Amino acid sequence: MRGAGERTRRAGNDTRLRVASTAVSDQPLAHAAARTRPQAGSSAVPRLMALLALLLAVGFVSLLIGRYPISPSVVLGILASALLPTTPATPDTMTTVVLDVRVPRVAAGAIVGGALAVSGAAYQSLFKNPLASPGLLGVTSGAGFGAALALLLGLPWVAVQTSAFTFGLLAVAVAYVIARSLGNGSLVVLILAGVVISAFFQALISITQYLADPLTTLPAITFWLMGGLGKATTRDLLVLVPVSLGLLVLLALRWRINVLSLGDEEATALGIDLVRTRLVVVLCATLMTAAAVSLSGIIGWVGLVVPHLARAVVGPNAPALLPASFLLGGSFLIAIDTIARSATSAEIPLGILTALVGAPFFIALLARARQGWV
Amino acid sequence: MTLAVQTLEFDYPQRGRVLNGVSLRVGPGETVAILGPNGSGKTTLLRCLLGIHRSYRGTISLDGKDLRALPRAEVARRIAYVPQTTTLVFPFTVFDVVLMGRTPHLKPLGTPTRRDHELAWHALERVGIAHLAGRALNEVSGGERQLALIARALAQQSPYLLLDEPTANLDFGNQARVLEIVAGLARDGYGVVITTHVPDHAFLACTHVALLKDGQIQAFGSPEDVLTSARLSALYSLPVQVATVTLDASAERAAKVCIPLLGREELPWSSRREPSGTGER
Repeated sequence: MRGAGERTRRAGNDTRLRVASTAVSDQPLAHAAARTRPQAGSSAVPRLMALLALLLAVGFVSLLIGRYPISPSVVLGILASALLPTTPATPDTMTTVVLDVRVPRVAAGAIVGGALAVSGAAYQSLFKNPLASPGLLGVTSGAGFGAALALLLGLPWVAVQTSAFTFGLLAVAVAYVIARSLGNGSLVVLILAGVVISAFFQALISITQYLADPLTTLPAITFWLMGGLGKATTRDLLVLVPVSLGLLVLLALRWRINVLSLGDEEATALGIDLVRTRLVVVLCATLMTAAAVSLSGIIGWVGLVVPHLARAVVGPNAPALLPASFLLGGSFLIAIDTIARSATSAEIPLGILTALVGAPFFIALLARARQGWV
Repeated sequence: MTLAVQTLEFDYPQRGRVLNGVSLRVGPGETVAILGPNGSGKTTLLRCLLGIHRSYRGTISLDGKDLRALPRAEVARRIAYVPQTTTLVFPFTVFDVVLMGRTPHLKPLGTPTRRDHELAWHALERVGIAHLAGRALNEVSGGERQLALIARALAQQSPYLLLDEPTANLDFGNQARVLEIVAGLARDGYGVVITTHVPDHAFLACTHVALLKDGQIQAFGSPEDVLTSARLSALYSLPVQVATVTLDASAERAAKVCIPLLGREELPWSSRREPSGTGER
């Protein structure tokens, strides 16, 4: 803020102060700046490509690992024969393991991890809070109750998933309506309504657990609440529909999500309709999370930790942050799930591992935060 | 081409009437300082002008159009806002924040184009902080942050600028630099509204001044006419002396300054019971 101002300061012939930069004195400064301009916007593309490559690499490695280790060339052959019918087929068991078991599971990991991470990133911008996570407004508690209720009633798996999805949406809708009718559009009221609704549905979950048969239903509910991709089949990839819908709308709103993180007053002064934009972001994030949770059960930490990791890689701008969060969330969950299904002879519930890995990871991020990027 | 406020009234649900019949106008090339004690309604007035408070009575018209009838983005294309300060949760750079000034000009689902980047750079160069473009906004000094917020408003290309106490958190030198830029903007044709707690700033950088107390405009006009010892004493409930200071021996160059009189009972004009501007000139 010195520079040009200092040069012109003495030029005034009265006591009135001259504005720092006139057209003439600006020229050298403008040229100097032109040389050092960072190419804003384009710099994120190579990094996003690298994250995409990481996701594909993690996904491929995950196809090799498991109770039946399969060599890379065989997996490539199986994938090739599935995509190109002309290629000769490999032994049946391995084809089944790769195509019917591991591919759906890896795809589910990418979708669920990506959806949770993008929802978390959108919420962190929307609520201007680095501790916001996808479950903030009650979607995971609602989904948990929906699944537990369906399991308690002995409904088939499809009904469990549908019930989880529906109650997840319902919980956020109730929180939103409460906040709209009580608050004056304040974010704090919305968060508090979410906390209350979460607590309410947690209590309902406890009731279902209390009523459940301790030998059959209770373990099923408990396993669902700990999350996992073990039941993922090709049909489950239907969740791609709501997840893609939410992702596309959030990506379309990427610049507005950025401006929301300036705060209410400044975003309004920049022409953003706060109420409408917030509603659409909450709707999309809820849709994605509810769909993800209906497939995997409750998986914590991904939506909280991965956006911070993505921010460290591509910076805080939503146009880069949202796709980076999706790619990193997918890689993260596939990697954790691979450990969950291969580290021990019995499968470790995924939600336990994400917390075990996520907690120290988050502490490491906090240590970096003191250097100023959170 | 004016931003005109007529008989504006605004109530907060709990606090009651905050603005009570406020009228003022700003045209291109004019800088209006709004002076008033804490709680006089300055911030509320700005929030009404920004379209944040929409339940006011009276009218705010922008170039002849009613503020509430305009879409938000259209208001943002006409009025830009410079907050007192801003704290970001995430590490956006100075350039990121200035670029956000282009938001009202973007297509509904668009992102900034090459031209928007150019305009953001011009705004940064205009306030002289292009070298800070890549630094995190939260890490630059208070003065530099204020300049970045002004640059964002310039990138917005709105003919009217509202600045909320732009000098409040700045040191003496940075206050002068910001005032210098504000005065320069008015010369370039912007219509500027600035709230301030320092009457001297109105003399230094403003063409008009409005005195606001208890939600009412006490006086509106040129600083020379409005800022008298009597009016300032009444405004702040404290004896204030407006004095003329000569800046060279021949007294051709002079400036006016406002001095609060603290406990100088011996001076004839300092009577706390009659703060009646006897000392003017």
